[in-house]
Amino acid sequence: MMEQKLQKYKIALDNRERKEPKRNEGKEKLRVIFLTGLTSLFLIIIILVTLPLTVLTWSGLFVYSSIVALVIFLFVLLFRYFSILVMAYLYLTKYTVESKEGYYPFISIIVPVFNEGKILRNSIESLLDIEYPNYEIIIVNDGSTDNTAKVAEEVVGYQQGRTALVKVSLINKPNGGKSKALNAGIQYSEAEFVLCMDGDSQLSANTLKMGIRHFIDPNVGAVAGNVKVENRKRILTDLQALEYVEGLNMPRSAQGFIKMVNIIPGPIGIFRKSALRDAGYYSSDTFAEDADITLKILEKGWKINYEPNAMAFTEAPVKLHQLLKQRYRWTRGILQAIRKHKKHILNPTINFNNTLILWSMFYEALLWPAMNIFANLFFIVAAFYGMSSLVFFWWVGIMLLDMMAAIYCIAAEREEFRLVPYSIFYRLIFILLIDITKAMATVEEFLGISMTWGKLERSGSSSQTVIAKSPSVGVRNKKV
Amino acid sequence: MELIPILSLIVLVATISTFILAVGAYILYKVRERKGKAAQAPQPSSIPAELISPTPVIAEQHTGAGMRRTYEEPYPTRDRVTEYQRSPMYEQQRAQAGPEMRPTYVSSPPPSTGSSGRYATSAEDRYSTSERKKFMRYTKDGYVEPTKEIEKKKKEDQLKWR
Repeated sequence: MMEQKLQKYKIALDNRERKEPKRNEGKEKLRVIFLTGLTSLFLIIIILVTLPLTVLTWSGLFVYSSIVALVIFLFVLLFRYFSILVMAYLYLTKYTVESKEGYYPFISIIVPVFNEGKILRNSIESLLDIEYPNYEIIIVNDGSTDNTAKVAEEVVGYQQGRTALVKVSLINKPNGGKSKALNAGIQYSEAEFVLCMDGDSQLSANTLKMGIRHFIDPNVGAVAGNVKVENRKRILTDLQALEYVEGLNMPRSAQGFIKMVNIIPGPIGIFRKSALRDAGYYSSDTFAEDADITLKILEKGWKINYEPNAMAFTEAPVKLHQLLKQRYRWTRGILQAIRKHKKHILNPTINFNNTLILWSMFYEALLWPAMNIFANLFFIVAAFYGMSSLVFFWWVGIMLLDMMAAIYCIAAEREEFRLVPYSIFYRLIFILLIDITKAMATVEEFLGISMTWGKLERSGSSSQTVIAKSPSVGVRNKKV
Repeated sequence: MELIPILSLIVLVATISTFILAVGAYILYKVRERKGKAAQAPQPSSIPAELISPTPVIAEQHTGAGMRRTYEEPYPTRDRVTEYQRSPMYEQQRAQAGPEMRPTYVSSPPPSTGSSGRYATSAEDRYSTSERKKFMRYTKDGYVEPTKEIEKKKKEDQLKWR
């Protein structure tokens, strides 16, 4: 890093946010309780009236209705799997044959940091290694209490990048959350395109080159990148690595086929500034600012693409309670974002694409976990009634499906094949754990129980990692 | 002994253990979270901050073309595309969106680092350029104001007439 003369300016940042109209939450909840209660009552009356006319007993009714529900669940599961695989295949095929080169507009990389002193220097070094001729780095220190400000100040200046000098600036502001920190960086940036990332993430060398070419289409407002788990070689982080490949990136490829990615991941998202302006920038009223900004951009009619070669390597939680805490926050944040845009759920005439996306998010966040928990509970109960083999066959069926999907996704992304065996207990333990957390988060969100943001304790274990120089899809980070 | 009942038992135990683990982790999380709760402070409309940036290099100060090189863009940008290709955000909505956020410099601002006309110094300038272009005619010489073009044509006509 080069020593340079720095200038300090006092600035005032615009802290306003576009406010959504105030909602009467109590009234909304009462309405939901009333409607669901009324529907349940109606169904119970129908059962009470019609059951004596059939040969079914109460226990028989419970068993048959559960089996019907599970069969429907299985069909939905299969439909979802195969449609995602087909669409992802079509997207990757289209992606492979398409060539868009020679578009290099100026880009600002915004790095919001909060107590990331341990890993900030490493993150900035990875950013300086990006193969792109025309970009700057803006670090936004969101009121850190550790040595982040000092470390950040050391890297401010014109630093030698891979192809040119790169300007690194720093904004020190009071703590206000990630969305406000990103807004501060966007305010200062004069570029037409901004890349928003997490302070703990590292980007692959060709992220900007591969990501920016989608903006050749003037209707593309944002591009979602490919998030990879960096700290592997542990059971929990390997399971998360598999989940990122199979459960997050593959659906994102499928959504990229229709240019409607539903969540631009926090660790890497490239935005057209005018799309952000249309959307009213980041808001801090949800715990998933990435889901919220994505829905707002889609709402304004912009398209959102996916770029598998724009990779961000992020540090995944290494302890179970950290992981569950992260998922708890994600679920509540996504539910908050869905609720914020709920007018699109019931009215497809406003923006059909948004309705489609919101229903799929609703399914992923609410219906899927509920059905998975129900299926497992059903088989536990069935086992006590002497049908223990049912549990085994259900698990074998789901496991084979997961293994097939894992092989496909890992082959498509040229990921590590050693992750495939994890699919044996991926659904049985990992996904069930996460689904239970999701269900609890959903109940708490509905009850309106307050929550705090929380912060993942960084171990700095990724500091020994060097990003491969010019990775294509699947060329992974190398440990030195 | 048959294999399937044994495997079923393993799966069953794993499933029940997972349930217990998840509920235990949830209770632990709630207990930990309860320890540090803070009330949310009211949000002011602007917040003071500090900007640290390097001293602009000479090329940047004089020509503004030092660090921010502009590459020839063979592809259409939103300013260049026709109106119907733009995002379906209507003008009324655009007006409601409010001004673009820009930081206010309390001390003297750094010199603009804009490399070309694309990077205007303020949002107003940027807006005005793009807004103005809407009422301009695009010719082989670039954007031309219609009044100037009419005058030019008149002159040409006069020349021909003579």
